[in-house]
Amino acid sequence: MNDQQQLVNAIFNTSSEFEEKGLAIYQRNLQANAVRALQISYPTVLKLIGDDLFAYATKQLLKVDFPNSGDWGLWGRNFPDLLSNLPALQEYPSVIDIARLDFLMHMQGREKDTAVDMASMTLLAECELDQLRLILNPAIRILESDYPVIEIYQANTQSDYAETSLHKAQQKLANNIGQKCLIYRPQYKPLIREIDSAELNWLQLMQQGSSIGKALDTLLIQDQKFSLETWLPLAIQQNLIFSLKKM
Amino acid sequence: MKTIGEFKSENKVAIGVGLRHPHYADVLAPSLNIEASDSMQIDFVEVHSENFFAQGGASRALIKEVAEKYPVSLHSTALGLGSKASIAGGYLESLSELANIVNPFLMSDHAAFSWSEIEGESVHAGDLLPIAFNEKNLKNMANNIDAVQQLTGKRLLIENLSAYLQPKDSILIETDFLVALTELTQCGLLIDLNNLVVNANNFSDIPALEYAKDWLQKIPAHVVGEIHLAGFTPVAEGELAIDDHSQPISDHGWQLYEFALQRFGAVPTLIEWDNNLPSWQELLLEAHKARIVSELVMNNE
Repeated sequence: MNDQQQLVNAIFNTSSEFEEKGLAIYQRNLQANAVRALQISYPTVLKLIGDDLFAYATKQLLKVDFPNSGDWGLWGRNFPDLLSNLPALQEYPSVIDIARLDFLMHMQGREKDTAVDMASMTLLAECELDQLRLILNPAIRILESDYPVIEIYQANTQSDYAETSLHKAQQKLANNIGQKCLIYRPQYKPLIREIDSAELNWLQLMQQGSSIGKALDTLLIQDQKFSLETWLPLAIQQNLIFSLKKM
Repeated sequence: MKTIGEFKSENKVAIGVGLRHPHYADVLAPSLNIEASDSMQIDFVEVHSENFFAQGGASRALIKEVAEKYPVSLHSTALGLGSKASIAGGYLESLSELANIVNPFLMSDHAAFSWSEIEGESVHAGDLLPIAFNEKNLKNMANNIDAVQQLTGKRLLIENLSAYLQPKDSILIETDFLVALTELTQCGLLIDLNNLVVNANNFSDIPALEYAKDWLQKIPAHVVGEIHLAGFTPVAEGELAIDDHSQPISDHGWQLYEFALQRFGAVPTLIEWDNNLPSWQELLLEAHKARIVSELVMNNE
């Protein structure tokens, strides 16, 4: 082990080979930087579990998931898994899905800017739907949860709707109502909305490369209500689409 | 707004501030630099590169807008140029992409290491860790600086580090190490005056001001590309001072600044404040103080 590896090992593993006071400063810096990073990427979890448990969980994550990119904004992807193993959260499993949602929202905010290729939309008038593929914005993400994560998220992030969202969340939790969520970014701010089974299937078929015509037939056979005419303008407005492509 | 080159040719010091998240809206406020008085003007902003590594979204939009309004200095904190382990390719790509977008007038990082391994697993220490000043590390760091300069096409400035531990294997003095780096790579130096005071407190029996002036005397003027001014929380005697950038610049800091300008000339100067952040107006007033000091010194030359 070279001298640099020895110091880094000492900082991460609390070894005592180095002068105690100086080492302690680097160890405190590391923990403070890690907590600060996760406070940014997991703001809702922080509100739900409080400063102390959040700091404890961050410290635990540092032991098993070393930062390795030089960008604290990318660290912490495994935080939800770590939270799922914390005894203190065993009775609050919804927190784990909220953590997943927090990180998806955080990463959505960092994705490349994209715009719908409007010129490609003319293909709709020129080709049969069986010959067309819809390329979705690669940045959109889907989260399926057994809990009303959108309402819980909104209750903790949108003060104007906090009370209403909390009330809705409580009702849905009492009735075991989960949600399918779409995470997207029309411009700079990541957004979330609930999607039904038909839209979820549609998006998955598009991601799998199905033609538009075939996907619509599949949904029809499954008796799922989906209207391309209604969905398309919304998808353009919400920046869910990248382009149309002839197969 | 004057370009940084114009400041140099007029023998004037360009004064900037470190831009941090709570001030993002302030820096783009339309009143600044249009109707504002001289005391509220800045000549450039410096950002931490890593805060703008996101490939898109609000932070990317912001830095583009800031770069349209001000000359930008990209100050990195995670390059780990003194690391024996390799610098991650992804990090270098992000830095290079950001430099292409911002076209910074300065790029800098520290004489420190950050990349290493724990049980064979790559790790970034998330901090600026001290390197031993010896020939082997000099060669290694020079290679890393070369690689980054070639990749970005920009000259790097290397900042002297504040530290809380002293590596055992140093055989060169810090100033010799830094000057040798400039000779090997044509990089420049970013002199952080606060770091000198912190190190004097932590490792030297010589009074801080004397230690720092002696240190500055050993640096040739032509390699200095920027000066950082900052403050730190005072500590009791015998305690290690932490370079927390949480206070106004100390009296020692201002005295050293005067001394440094007399020695190095009209070097772009930054007010660096990261914790316990004041209002934007207070930050600009601190920058104004730096301008007054710099004008007094430069007018007396």
